[in-house]
Amino acid sequence: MPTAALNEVFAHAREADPEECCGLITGTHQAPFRHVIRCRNDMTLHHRRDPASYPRDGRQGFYMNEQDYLRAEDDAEARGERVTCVYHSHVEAGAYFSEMDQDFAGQPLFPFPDADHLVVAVIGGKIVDQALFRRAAESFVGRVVVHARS
Amino acid sequence: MGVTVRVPSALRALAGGRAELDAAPGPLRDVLASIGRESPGLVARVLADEGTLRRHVNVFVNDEDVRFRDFLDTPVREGDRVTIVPAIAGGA
Repeated sequence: MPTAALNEVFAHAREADPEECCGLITGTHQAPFRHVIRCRNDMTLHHRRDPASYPRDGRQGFYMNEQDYLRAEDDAEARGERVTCVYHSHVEAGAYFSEMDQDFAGQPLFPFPDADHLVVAVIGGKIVDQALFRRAAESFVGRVVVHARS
Repeated sequence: MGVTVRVPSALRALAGGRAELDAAPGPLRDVLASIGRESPGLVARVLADEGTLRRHVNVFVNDEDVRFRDFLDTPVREGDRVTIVPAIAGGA
């Protein structure tokens, strides 16, 4: 993954702290990680409105703003790109693909079933780890994120 | 002009490959029921057995999230656009 793309994700994660950040990365087959698109995390909004249905707030979860991701998808299509990666951060927690992450990413209607998932760990305000997860049959397999100069 | 229902890509196979369906105006519940009659299986992926929206799916009427309106009782008027939007969420 290009260093420039990773740095943009890291910047978003640091700025969103103490809440989780979320967003999309779009690209082509030849250049899969070209554009990083930040999306709003509406988890706190939903938690405040309906804490029974949304027990977590933005510090423990993310809920990608639908208008943001639909617009990102449309813009990507207009550029001849597709969504290649969904990213989000964990705060005061590691870069793992949690049960909740897998639950949403694995559901039948997930809009980007072929996309990778990048998780960034923010601890003490610093990026401490990152990992990429890719769907393999019914589960997700973690891969080391290799930086590449863009 | 009736109501246009935008179908997410993951459900288009259940809608005969169509990205949009037409329906008559009315409460959202009725709009979904009418497209369910035309496209069996599609609405089953949107509504749970008890008739509520499934956890991983949201519905917008124009730009308004029905969770901030009246859920399935949200009125859908002539010319409105209904969008079925799968949720992208997670957390540590």
